[in-house]
Amino acid sequence: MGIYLFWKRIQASFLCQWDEFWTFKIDLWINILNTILEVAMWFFLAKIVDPATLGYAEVGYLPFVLVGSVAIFFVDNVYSNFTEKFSSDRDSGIYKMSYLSNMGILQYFFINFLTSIVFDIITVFIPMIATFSILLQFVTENTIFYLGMSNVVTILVALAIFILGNLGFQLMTVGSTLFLKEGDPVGFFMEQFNRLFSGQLFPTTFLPNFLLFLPKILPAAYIILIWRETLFKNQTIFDPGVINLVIAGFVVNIIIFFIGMYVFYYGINRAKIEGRWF
Amino acid sequence: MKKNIIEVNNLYKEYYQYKVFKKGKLLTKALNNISFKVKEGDFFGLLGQNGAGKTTLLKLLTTNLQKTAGSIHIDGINIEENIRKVKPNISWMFGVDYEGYGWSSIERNLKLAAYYLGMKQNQAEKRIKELLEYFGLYHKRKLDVWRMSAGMQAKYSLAAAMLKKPKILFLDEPLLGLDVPAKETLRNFLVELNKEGTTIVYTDHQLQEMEKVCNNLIIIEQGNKMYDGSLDNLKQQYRDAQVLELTCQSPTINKILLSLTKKVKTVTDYEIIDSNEGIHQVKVYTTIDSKKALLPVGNYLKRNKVIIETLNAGLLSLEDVFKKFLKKNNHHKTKKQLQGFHKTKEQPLQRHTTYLKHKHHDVREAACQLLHQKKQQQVERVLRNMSKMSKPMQISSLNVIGNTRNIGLLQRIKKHLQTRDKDIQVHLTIAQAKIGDTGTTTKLLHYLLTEKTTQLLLTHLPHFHKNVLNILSKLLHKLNKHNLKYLIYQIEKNKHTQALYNALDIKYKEQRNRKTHMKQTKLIIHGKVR
Repeated sequence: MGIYLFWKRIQASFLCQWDEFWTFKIDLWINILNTILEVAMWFFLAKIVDPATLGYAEVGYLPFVLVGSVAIFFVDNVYSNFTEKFSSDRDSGIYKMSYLSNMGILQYFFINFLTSIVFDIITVFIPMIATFSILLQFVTENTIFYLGMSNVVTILVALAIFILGNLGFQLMTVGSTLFLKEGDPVGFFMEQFNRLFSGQLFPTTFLPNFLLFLPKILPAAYIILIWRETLFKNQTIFDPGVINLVIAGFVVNIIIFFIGMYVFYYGINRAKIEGRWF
Repeated sequence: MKKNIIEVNNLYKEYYQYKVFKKGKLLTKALNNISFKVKEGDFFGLLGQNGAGKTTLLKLLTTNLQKTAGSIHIDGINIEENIRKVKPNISWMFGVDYEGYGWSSIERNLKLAAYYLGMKQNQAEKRIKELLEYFGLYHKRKLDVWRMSAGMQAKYSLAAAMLKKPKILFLDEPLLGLDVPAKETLRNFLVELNKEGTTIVYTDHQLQEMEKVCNNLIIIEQGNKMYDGSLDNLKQQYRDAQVLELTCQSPTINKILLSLTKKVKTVTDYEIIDSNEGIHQVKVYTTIDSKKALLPVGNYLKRNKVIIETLNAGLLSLEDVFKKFLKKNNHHKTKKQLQGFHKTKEQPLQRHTTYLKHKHHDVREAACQLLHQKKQQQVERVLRNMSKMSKPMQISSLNVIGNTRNIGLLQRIKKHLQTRDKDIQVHLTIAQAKIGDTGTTTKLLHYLLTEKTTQLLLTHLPHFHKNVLNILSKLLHKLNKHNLKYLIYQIEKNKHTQALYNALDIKYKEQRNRKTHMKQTKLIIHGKVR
C-alpha cells in the first residue's frame, strides 16, 4: 500500500501539474529557449578558456561547465521542489492534505521532485543534450566521457548524497523563514555560495587557502567533484580517491540534513506558537 | 447518552512578540480560561465578534496552534500527547482554503487531495463522485478550478475537507462572502452532513447565521467565554428584543427617549450610539417585531418634535446581545443613560444629581462627568470625597479630573491618593497628561511600552493635551524597531486606530513581501520613514 499510494500521489500530482504545464505553452517555449541559450553561452565561453588551466587536461571547457551546470540544475530543482513548492502548497491548501494525513516530509519532497523531473526532461534535459550534441560538431578537440556501469553507479550515489544534503539546506530555508519571518539567509547562502565556491565555474583548488573549507560544507561541491572525476578521469566509487569523497560527502550531507530537519520542525513549532501556521 | 467528542479545559492562549529566539512583550491574551465540551454529533457554534478569539480557538482545536496553558481532548485523545492520532479524525475549512492547481480540473484536484489524504483509488473515486453529486458539481467536474464562482469554490473547498469523512469538521465562517442562495445551499449541506453523524464546530460573527444551524454554542468576547449552553436557552434571553436604528435631531433626545420607554410599552430601552453636531445615532430596543414598532415609535418621536432623518428596523447584533443580556446589570444601564446625556450635551435631569452619591464608581464617574459644568462645586466635593475612598473610586475621580482638565482640584486631591499603588500612579499620570503636564511624557512612554498598561494608555491618548502629544510623538521617533512594531500592533488592535495615528502624527503603511508573504511595516513620523 505504501509504494502504491506513493505512486498514486505522484500520478495525481503529475496530472494536475501537466494541465498547468500544457496550458502555458509560451512559458514552456521560454524555458526550452533558456536552456538552449545557456548551453550556447558555454560554447562561446569555451572558446576563450584553455582547458589545461582548469586542472582537467584534455577536457574541454564546455563539458567541464556542463557537468557543473547539470549538478546546479539539481540544486535549483531541489529548491523549487521544496522551498517554493512548500510555500505555494501552503497557500493552495495542498500541504494541508499532507499535514492531515501525517505524510512524512521526505515523501512530500520526493513526490514533487520526481514529478518535476518528468517536466524537466522536456524543458531541460532534451534541449540541453540536443544543443550540446549540435555544438560539439563545431568543436575541434575531443573530450572523452566515461560512462561504464561503475561510472553510472558513482554518478547516482553522488546524486543521492547531494539530494540529501541539499534537501537539508531547503528544510533549513523553510524552517528559518518560518521563525525569522523576514529575509531568507539560508536561501542566499545556497544560491550564491553554491555558484561561487562549489566548483561549478572553476575548480575549487583555485580558491585561496582561507576559503578552502567552504566547498567542504556545500553539497554541490561533492557531486561536481565526484561527477568530474568519474566522467573525465574514469575514477569510480571503487577507487580510493572517490570512495573517500563519497564517505566525506555522506557525513557532511547527512549532518546538514539532520540540522535541516531540526530547523524545519523548530520553524513549524514557532509558527504554531506565534499563530502563523495554517 | 452521547459522549463528549471535544473537551476543552482551562485553555489559555497568549501571543508574544518575538526577537528571533527571545520571547518579547505580550501582545494579546487571545483566550482566557476557556472550558467547554462538545457532544458527539452536535452542530456546535463558536460565536464572537471579529477579533474575539474564535479563529484562535479553532486553530488550537485543529492542532494548528500551540496553547499557552490548559488541555484539549479530541475523541478522548490529548492532542498535545498524540497529535498524529488526532489528525486523521478531523478536518477543517478556514474560508476557501483548498484550491489545488488552479489550471487543472475540479475532479483531478480532488483526486490529488484524496491521495494526499491517504485514500485508496476505489475509495477515492467513489467518494469524489459522491461529493461532486452531493454538491451539484458533478457535471462541472472537468472545469478548471480558477473558473469557478465564489459559491462553487466554497462547495469545492468543503468537498475537499469532507473527502475522508472526518468525525469532526471545523469550519471558520464558511458562509462569508457568499450570496444568499449560495449560503442557503451550503447551510443545507452542512445540516445534512451533521444529520449523517459528523460533529460540526462552526464559527460565525452573526447570531442570525448561528440560529439557523447550531444546537449548542459558546459566545466569546475578547478571549473570555460569555455564554456556554444551548441556542434555545440563549434565545429565551433575547427573544423579546428587536432593534430600531434611528438617526435624528433633537436638543432633548434623552428625555424624549426616556419618556418613550415609559409611554410605549413595547419599547424596553435605548442607547445613544453617537452624537455629533446635534445629530444623534440611537438604538431603540422593542419587544415586538421591529417593523411593527416603526410606526408607533416614529409617531411618538414626531409628536415630540424630533426631526427623524432615518428610522429602520434593524437586526439584533451580537454586540446588542452582549450589551443587553450578557453584561446586563443596573449599573451598566444607568451609566449608559448618563453617558447618553453627556454625548448629546443635553441638560441633565434633576434626578441625575442623586447619582453623584451612587455606590458604584462607574455610575458616579458618569454622573460627575455629566454634571461638572452645571454643578461644579458639588461635583468637586464629590470628587474630593472619592479620592479618599476605595481604589476604583480614586481612579474614577482621576478620570473625571483629567477629562475636565481641573488642575487645581488635582493638586488638592493628590495627597489623599494611594500613590504607591501602580494603577493609581498610571491614572494619575494620565490625568496629568490630559491637563497638559509635559513632565509626564517619559512615564507615559514607559506605560505605553508596558504590556499591562499599553491599551489603557491608548484609550486615553487621543484626549491628552496637545503639548504632551507633541513631545510624545517626538519620543516615538527615537524608539527602536522592536518597540515601534509592538506599539503599532497595539494601535491596530485598538478601536480608535485612526484617532491614535492622528494624535501621534503617525502615518503608517503596511505591505507584504511577495516572496516571504510577510508583512513589512513603514512608519512615517514627522515625514521621516522609519
